[in-house]
Amino acid sequence: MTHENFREMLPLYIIGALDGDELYNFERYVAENRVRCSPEIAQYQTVADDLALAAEPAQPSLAVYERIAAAIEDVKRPAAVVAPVPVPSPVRPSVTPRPEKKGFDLGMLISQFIPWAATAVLAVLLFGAHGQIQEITSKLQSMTNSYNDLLGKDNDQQGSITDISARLDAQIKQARESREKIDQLLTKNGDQQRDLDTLRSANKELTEEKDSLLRAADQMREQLEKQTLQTAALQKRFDDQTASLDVMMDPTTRIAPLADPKAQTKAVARVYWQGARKTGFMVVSNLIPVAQNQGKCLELWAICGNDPPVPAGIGWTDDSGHGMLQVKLAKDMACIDKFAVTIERDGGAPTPEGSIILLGQ
Amino acid sequence: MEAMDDRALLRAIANRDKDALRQLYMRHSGVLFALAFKILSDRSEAEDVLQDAFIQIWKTASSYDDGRGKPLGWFIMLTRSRAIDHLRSRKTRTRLTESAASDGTPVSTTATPADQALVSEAHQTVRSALNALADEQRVPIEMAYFGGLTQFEIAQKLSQPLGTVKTRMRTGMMRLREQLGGAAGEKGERTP
Repeated sequence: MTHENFREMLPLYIIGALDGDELYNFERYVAENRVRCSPEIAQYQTVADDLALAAEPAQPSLAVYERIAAAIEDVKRPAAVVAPVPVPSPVRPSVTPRPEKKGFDLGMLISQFIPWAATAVLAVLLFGAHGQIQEITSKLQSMTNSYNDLLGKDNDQQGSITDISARLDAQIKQARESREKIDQLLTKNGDQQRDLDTLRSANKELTEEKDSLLRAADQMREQLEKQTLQTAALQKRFDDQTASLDVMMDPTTRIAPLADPKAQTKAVARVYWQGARKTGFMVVSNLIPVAQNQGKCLELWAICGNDPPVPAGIGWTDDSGHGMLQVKLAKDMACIDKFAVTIERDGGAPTPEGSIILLGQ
Repeated sequence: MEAMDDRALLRAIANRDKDALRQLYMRHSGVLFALAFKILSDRSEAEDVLQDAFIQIWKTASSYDDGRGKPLGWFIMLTRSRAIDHLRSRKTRTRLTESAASDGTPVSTTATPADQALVSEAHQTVRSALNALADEQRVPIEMAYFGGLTQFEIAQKLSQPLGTVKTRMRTGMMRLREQLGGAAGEKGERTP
């Protein structure tokens, strides 16, 4: 039982509501912790005393005090055998369900004996009857025997109670030691729990930081991939332009201007062809826009005499009809007399299918 | 004899001063009789209890421990425990609500007007505090204090779970403790 339990039970105990094991445990705890419990009990005792005043005021009859006055005439000054005064105390005064020691109340016996004996002697003096003396003497002897029997039983019970009390004391001591060990373990466990909580908290913070860093790394990786693609595109464009510049700067490069053979549009083109290295490019302007991924493309053809045109590369324009394509001959040619441009299906055709929109030599 | 406080009266009683006992009786017999009558609902039995209590006071006043409580608290404890013993021996647990005032038997007025006024005021204070409680708290408290019933018996009588009854009584007592400033104690400490 803890002091907290004591405090929970105290209001019930003070009005006599506790019973059974709860009452037994409560009273035992109070007996063992009297100094700590007494002030708290006294506080509630005041409430219990106040409750007595809830009864409707009433007065006893005059005869009561007369009876009391008559009774105290027969009560002598308290001797050493008077039982301890039952001042307001935490021990429930009169009614308890747990069996209690049936101690022999010598004071009570004497208080019962004295009137008896006084009455008997008075009767003898008054009536002087010898037979009555013998009868009364016999009664007194019988009562003395009963008293001795009760004393014997009382001693036996006292011995049993002493044994039980010793066993209880040993169990209480053992329980206290166990309790101390449990308290120590609980304290240790509490410390470890606090350490664990600290570590958990630190781990949570580290995990959050790690997740944050991983997200940042993913973003950087995506940016790097984009930049790599942009760099590759720029590199290709740079390579193409360098190659084109090389071709343009080469004095052996052949430049073939192309125009609308029907002269109906302002579309023009120029093919830079380096025969020795079989490479070159074509730039176009003012064409009807042929955008990439729209199912069509420009296709350049190389023509030698009356031979069938040879595919020489495909390309597209921007929205304003300007564009450039690399010249890639599908096969070697003995000569190139003319260049022509048609609009073909996406990917190009092996032989021209569309009309010639540019032609030149 | 000059009026004395309860402790002085007890010391005088310990010296076999019958007049001191009479003064003590005049001062407190009303409260103690009302308590016994509230518990027993029987005037004759209540008077027997009152008589026993004062004889016990006469016998043991010399051993009264001044440091362990106020005299009136001791008188109340003596009276209540004897009344409840009577009640249990009667083996009837009828909780009576009739008041002492409803009894038509002529009664004597032994207390002084000042004592009666104090008792009446304290009665009103305690009664108000009790009436301020919810019925579910007040009824089991009264059953325990005035009926001598244990928590288990109260739970059975009210057909309520034991834990509920305990909680309600505890809560009610805590409220009473907050509201009452020790009306009985103050009266017991009355000085001339």
